Amino acid sequence: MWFKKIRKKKIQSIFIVLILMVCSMLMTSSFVIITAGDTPYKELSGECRSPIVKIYPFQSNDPAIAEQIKENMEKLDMVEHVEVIPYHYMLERIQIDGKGSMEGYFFDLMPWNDKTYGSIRILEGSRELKEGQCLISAVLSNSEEIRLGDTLNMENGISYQVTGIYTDPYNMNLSFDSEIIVKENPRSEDLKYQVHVFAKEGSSGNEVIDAYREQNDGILEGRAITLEARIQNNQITERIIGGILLGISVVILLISGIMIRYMIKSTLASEKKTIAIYKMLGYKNGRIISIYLKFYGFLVVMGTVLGSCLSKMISDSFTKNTFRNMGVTSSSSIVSAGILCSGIIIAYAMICVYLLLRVVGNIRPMEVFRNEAAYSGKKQRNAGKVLGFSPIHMAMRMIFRDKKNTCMLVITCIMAAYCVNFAATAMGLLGTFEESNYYWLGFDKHDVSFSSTDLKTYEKTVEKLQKEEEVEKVIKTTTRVAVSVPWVKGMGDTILSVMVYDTYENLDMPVIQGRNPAHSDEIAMGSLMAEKMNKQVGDYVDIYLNGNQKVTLLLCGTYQSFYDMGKSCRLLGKTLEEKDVSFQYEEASVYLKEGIEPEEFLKDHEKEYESDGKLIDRAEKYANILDMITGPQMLAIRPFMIMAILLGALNIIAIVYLKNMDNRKTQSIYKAIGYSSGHLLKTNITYVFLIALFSLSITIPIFIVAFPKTMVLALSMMGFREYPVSYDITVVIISNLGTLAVYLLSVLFASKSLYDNPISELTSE
Amino acid sequence: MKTCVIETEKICKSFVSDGEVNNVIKNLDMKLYQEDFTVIMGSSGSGKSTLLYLLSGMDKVTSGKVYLKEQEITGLKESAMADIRKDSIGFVFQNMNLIPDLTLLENVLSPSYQSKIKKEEKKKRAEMLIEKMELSAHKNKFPNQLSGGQKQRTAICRALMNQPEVLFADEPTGALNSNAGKGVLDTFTKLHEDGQSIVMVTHDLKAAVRGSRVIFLRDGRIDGELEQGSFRQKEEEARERMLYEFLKERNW
Ligand SMILES: Nc1ncnc2c1ncn2[C@@H]1O[C@H](COP(=O)(O)OP(=O)(O)O)[C@@H](O)[C@H]1O
Ligand SMILES: [Mg+2]
Repeated sequence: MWFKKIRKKKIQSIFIVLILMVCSMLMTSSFVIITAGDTPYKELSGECRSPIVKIYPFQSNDPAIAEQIKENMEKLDMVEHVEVIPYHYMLERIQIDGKGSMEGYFFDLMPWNDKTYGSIRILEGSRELKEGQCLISAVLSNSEEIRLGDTLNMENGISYQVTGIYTDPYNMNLSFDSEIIVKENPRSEDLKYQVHVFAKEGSSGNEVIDAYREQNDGILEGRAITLEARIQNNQITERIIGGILLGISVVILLISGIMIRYMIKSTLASEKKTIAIYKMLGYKNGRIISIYLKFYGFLVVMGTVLGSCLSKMISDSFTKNTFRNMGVTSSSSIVSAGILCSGIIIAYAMICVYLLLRVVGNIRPMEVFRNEAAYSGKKQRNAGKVLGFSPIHMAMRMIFRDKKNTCMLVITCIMAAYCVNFAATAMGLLGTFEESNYYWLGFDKHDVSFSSTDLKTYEKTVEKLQKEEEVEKVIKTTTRVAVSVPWVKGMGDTILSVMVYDTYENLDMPVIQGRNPAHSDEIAMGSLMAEKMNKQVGDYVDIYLNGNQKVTLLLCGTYQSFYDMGKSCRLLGKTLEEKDVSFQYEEASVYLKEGIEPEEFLKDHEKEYESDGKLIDRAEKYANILDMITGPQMLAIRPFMIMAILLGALNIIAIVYLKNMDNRKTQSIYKAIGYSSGHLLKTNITYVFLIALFSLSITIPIFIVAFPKTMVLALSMMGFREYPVSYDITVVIISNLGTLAVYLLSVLFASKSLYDNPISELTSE
Repeated sequence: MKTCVIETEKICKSFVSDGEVNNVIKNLDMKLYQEDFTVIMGSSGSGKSTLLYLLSGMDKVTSGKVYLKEQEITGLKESAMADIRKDSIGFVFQNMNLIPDLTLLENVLSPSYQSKIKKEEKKKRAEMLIEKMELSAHKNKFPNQLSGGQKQRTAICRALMNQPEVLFADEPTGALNSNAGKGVLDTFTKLHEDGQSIVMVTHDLKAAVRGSRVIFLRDGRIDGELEQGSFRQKEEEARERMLYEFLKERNW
């Protein structure tokens, strides 16, 4: 019996199925996006048997220190094996045959080591290495399109042919050092040392590090990168984006619940007579409710399950790259997320349905049959002013005399408009990230960046740069200094990334609180780190320079940064000098005179400086780190935006369509007394237009206030406290006009029935 | 000589359902005159309502022509048809078909939306009609707050709002109790006396005696016609008997 209803209520059934489908699509895919990496990462690290910790000693070129760390490590119970690996940190450029040079990456040239690399996953080629051959990571191969057989030419004249493409948990992300594996180190001078620690089954990297520090007075003279931290970093963008999307999809689900309630309500109203007849025939309430319950249950389950299955489309486009870099061919499994989300949505929708169906009990057959007065059961209403019959007046009447419907439409419009504005603004913002990378990464707004490849000539080169007529000033900087904070048990890694500047005076280098260091006893810290250490601007903080030299500095400011997830600090060069910490500037921020474009400057001078280092446009310099942040967001926001608009349009079509159905008779009466279809269509359009206009005028201010807050919330785990948004007026206007257009098109679509012959409606019972 | 308001030329109306063609009106020729109160009778399903929709321009003919005051209205565009319904036709349905979202007064005003008369004039006319139908006390109520008779009288006000050439009514008393029915019929009689052309479908003898002319419909064709002159209260019984005879001859 319930099955027959589907044919009779085709349109309504389709709407319910579609709306729930999109909901479950959004929800399932955001769940999948959050969790997709878990299993493959676990499998990958299980397979690769990579070290649980890699330690980069502060005195990186002193093998004795590495050996010392190894010795101490080996004393720990949970440690099974330790390797010290000499490697070559590449300052040289790498040229690829026929493809130009690779910019913006950090490479470690690693000699083959059975323990570390013996089980890495080989995606192409073989793991056997001969002299002159190398293995590169899949992520590098994929993003630079390096294939088997390509040759990497180092600046020092040595070249390697790519004979294998591998993947392991430490090499999934180009914003960290990328390991190029070769048979042996090319030269014995100029080597650095890493310590790779392998733990016994069941110990985590953090436990190993904590145990080490406990045994060694809290001191570990190097930077420790644990396997779990690396995996977590690889997944962080997924988690953030998935979280935002999940939030949106929950809101959408709640609103769709209202939509569905509304649809069912209108069905029940129109079926009161049928229900009354059933009751007269002696059907019990429970029986009648179960008929409807089965009908709606079928639709709900169908839409939800269908959506879960289709969610693969969204989540796949999102996880595709990660999976490709892992060499996982089968895409993410949606089964468990699908079951979970379907369960939630079905439960929610069915509760909505059930609560509504209880009114069946209140239908009294005799009242329904006796007259229409009881049938409509409407409360005494206030007529208010007598309005005219122009489309505007009729639309106003629809708005004010059917307030419930108006509210529904307004809520739906607001929801859809919010999503559209969110997506459009986010996309626009992501587009500006490159230009404003200094803000997001927390360094200064210079024009061109210089990195030395020959530290002996650094000072001279900077002097030369300073004398160029296009150059206004040059600030010497470096990030290659080890700074750590005092260790507390359970803390894991104590290392801070550091930016050491010659001066911070007159630099555009944003802070949230306070200011950048101006005196040698000052430090500025990422707000996340400052909070972790419970320090505020004006407090003193203890830090270690180069691992063991404790200094106390005044916290003069806090700032936010994506750089190293906010675990960073800013120091002045003279602070290090005063404390006799050996360090060397190796980079420089070059400021050009007004009106001089970086490209021009680069074109004229790039060659000139080639032997001393790289000159690079600031926008390009951190392109990879930014890509890691913005790339997946771009990927996810686009389909989401489409879904959100679709759902909004769907809801609007459903409401207007149902309203037309409800009002079919009224419309027919209007036509019978001489109103043209055009007039009625104009009325519908005006109605939705007024509502949409009202909704947009509410949404836009709310959005402008809420958007930065949402983003700060989402990014707070990286220590973000501010999210400056410059709204691009054209984007705002275009996206909102677009939304409006979609609404009006939906009206046209839903109003097709206006052109039907009126008579059939008026005579039918 | 009476003036013709509506004339039909071989009109046919067929419905197709489940692949079967149902010819409801068959090659029907008829003339309706000004100031007549024409009653269309016939057994249930004989096509009375269908015919009324064709005459009033609510529905399209399958073939043939309908003239309203010598203007052919068959084949007009949808918007032109809408104008005819608005300006020249008033229609009263059996089930009233008032607009539930509008008050009584607004329902009555609703057909005048494009007329050139001033707003106050319209309101005056509407209130005059409402007054005449003794509905003034209810003019700000919504249809679901009115009784059946009140609703039907509201529907008549609405039909008269634009001073139509012809007032059509499809079983206007069908849904009413006899008391309310009589009130509505008295209204029609009064309108007829004031010179309004009326075409009414009914199968109620009490309603049919009010007409000046009765047309009997059978199987989509005209099967007899009775001229009985204008209604006078004291002749009611005699008219009833005459009409009864007329109907009996046609196996009513
Ligand atoms: N819209 C329609 N579709 C199909 N058949 C119809 C339609 N309207 C009327 N009919 C058929 O036309 C015939 C006459 O109907 P109608 O004019 O309503 O009769 P009456 O009003 O004389 O009782 C009936 O047999 C009916 O089934
Ligand atoms: Mg009929």
